[in-house]
Amino acid sequence: MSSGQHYQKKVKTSNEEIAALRQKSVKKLAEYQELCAAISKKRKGNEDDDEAFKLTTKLLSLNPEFYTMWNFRRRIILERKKSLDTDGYQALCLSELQLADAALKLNPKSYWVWNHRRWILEHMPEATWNRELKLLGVMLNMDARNFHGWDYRRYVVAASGSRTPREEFDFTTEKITQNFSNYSAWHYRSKVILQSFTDPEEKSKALDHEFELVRNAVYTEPADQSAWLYQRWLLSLMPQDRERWMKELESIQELVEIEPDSKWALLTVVHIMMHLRRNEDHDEIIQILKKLQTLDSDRAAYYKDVAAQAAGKQ
Amino acid sequence: MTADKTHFDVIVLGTGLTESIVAGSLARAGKSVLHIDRNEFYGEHLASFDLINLLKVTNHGKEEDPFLSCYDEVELIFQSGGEEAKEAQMKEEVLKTNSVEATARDGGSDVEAKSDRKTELADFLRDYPDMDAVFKATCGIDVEDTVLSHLTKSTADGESEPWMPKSWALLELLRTSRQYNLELCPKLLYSRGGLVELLAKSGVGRYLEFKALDQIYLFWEGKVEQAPGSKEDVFGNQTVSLVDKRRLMKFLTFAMDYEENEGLFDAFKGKPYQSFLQDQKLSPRLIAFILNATALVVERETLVTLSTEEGLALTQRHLRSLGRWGKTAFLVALYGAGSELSQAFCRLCAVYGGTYILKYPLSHISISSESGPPVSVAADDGTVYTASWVVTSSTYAKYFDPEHKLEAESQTVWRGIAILDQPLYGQSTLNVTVFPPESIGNVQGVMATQQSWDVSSCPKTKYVVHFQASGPCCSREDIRKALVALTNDAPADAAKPTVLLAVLYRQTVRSCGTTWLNDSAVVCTPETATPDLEQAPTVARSIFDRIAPGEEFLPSVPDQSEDM
Repeated sequence: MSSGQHYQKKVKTSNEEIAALRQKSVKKLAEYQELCAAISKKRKGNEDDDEAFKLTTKLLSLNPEFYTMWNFRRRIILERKKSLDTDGYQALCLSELQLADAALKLNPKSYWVWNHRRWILEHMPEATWNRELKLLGVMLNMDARNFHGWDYRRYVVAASGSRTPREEFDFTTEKITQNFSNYSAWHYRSKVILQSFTDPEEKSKALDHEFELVRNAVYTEPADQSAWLYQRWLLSLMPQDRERWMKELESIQELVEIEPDSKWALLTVVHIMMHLRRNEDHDEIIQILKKLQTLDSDRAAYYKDVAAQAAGKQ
Repeated sequence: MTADKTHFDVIVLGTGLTESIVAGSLARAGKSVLHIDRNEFYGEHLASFDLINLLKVTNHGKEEDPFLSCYDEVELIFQSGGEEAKEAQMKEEVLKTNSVEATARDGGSDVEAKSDRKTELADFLRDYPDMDAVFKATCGIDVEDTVLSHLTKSTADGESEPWMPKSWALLELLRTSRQYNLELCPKLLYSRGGLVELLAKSGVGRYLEFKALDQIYLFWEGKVEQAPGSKEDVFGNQTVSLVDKRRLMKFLTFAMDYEENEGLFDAFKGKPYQSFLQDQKLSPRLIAFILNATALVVERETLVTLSTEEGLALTQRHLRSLGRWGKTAFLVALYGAGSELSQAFCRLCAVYGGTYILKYPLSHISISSESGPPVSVAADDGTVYTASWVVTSSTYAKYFDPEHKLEAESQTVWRGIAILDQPLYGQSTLNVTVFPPESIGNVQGVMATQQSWDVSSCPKTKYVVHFQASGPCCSREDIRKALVALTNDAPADAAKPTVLLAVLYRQTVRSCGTTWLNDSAVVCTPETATPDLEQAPTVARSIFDRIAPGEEFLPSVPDQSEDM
């Protein structure tokens, strides 16, 4: 009956135990400070040796945010390289990437860690791009809006040449479908779409589809500005295509009928009308901008300025 | 087993969820509790069973038992065209080959193998005499006449009996009985509902395991479609028009905090929710999505009478539970929600000193003693227990209510449990399909819940679908239509799921709400028709407050690991 964990009375943590735990954390802190001091001494004395390497490994596993240590580490790596053959150096670089993997788990938005990865890949005898793409797949699955990940992805794709623009375009489609409130994904889309569809007919079809996608996003959530910004970019690709601009205007005006107070819908109507420069729109532009001054009073001065521009243009 | 002591603060009868929460909370507050159930299992009408026991409970043939008599109108569907039959056929062939070899080797014969199988079947039927009715209903055999007596006859002619393959296939299915946990009354938990919050707050949740429901489907205009459960679903939906998307999103955003915009629905207070939704210019399809797949109302009459406030409250409850765990608003409990939850609260009760006696029939209950303790309960074994209060499920009502006044109403739900050889929709393992009234020629709306091995409902290669429908003029036909629609309307690229075995039945529970018979006796009714268990914590709380006024209801259990 009394075996195992059952029937055991819970004993309250005693004061002695609490003191012991505190003692432990004080000791941990002292060790950390000692480690920092030891590395600092090595760095100042230009001792880029094995021991310094081991010490920085230990320190960076504890605290990857100490960016001076990454810098020092690269100096040590270059020193070590001198005594290594190609295979040995490749292995060293791989183990560096693993260290950086672990560091990214602690903080996926660490500038120095992403930077260290780049440096290693550029110095590696044989850069392991596929490993990077795999890692990025995992990271952007965990947080689809980590702009470090997106930035690094563009870098890896450009440097490795292993992915076609179309594949990257499809990747952004996947991410946008999961959550369309994602500036990074829409932005990357604008970077790859024109290379993904080179045939003029295909390109025109693809752009039609993009406008449709944007419409779906803004009708679903007019307050999310990421799709509105992408729509502006799409329109900017075809300044002469008045038909396209008018078609978009019509669709947004329909949205304004249901959502008369949607700031982004109203602003887009103004944006398009100002581009079209039709006389009959003038009064409406001024009216909408007035409305926006009350709807979005934080930016009242901006709307006034736009109104002045509009008045000047006519 | 009997309890040494015979006087308690509270006697609780029946281990349904409400009674179990009452028992757990009162023991936690320091009351002495005796908890009795006539059944040998927990949960009463929310219990779950292995396959054989489910068949036993539904094919009971005992009209006088107050619990079992709630289950009738049973129909068994057994199709030996499924995998079991294929397997059986394969084994048959192997046997044939083997026996040919055996014949060649040592003069044995095919007949021997066949009679071995018959012996096995007979052995099983002797071990489980309750299964006679099941074999009779599904394979058309009379066990006594056909199988058992056949064994005594000579089988030297070697001719295979026509009933044998089917009986054998059923036997093969029943052999895996223990891998099933089939709920009499399947339940979902709202991720942010009162019950989940109570489980978290009280610490009872640590006894339980859950999986998130993957998807809710709506049967609309002859097709099954995914009910958009999130902003992304609305965005990605290819069949809803842009304007409808905006109207739907706008409505859902409003419903999330509808109390703050009373002006928007003031004029519709007390009027049908349906007319309010129409006034929002929502299309019939979106209205079906909101009423059937979000508010989860499927009864024809309720759809018409549901008031705007009631409808908004149900819609809000669903919406607020989204985004906590998984893609939908619901959790599915492993091994069966009602049964596991009841047991978890009973466990809390026992940890705090409650006494449990299951499989314990009672002979008499008195709640009107002039002198002495207000409640006395006599068991069949002659022991008499006394208490200051008695809290009982409605299956014990006959003791208090010989004139059947409390039975004026009964809650009837038509149900079906189907074991399939394939999932309904490819990848999704846990899902709900809602059939609005008249969508497949059904009178009442039907809800179908698919469960799988992921929640230990069945073996890894099988899927279980629970059907339920209720309301006036509802019948087994409604369940059967939904079953046919799902097993025929699977996506064209996948082979249709085959129904291996289905049990259709009627569950009729006495409904008296929560009734205090006097100051020391209360009867409560289980929630059978709703898909959730949101009522139980509220009812339990009201009973607790009356018995233990001023005490905290289910405070958290002291933390096990307060270490730094």
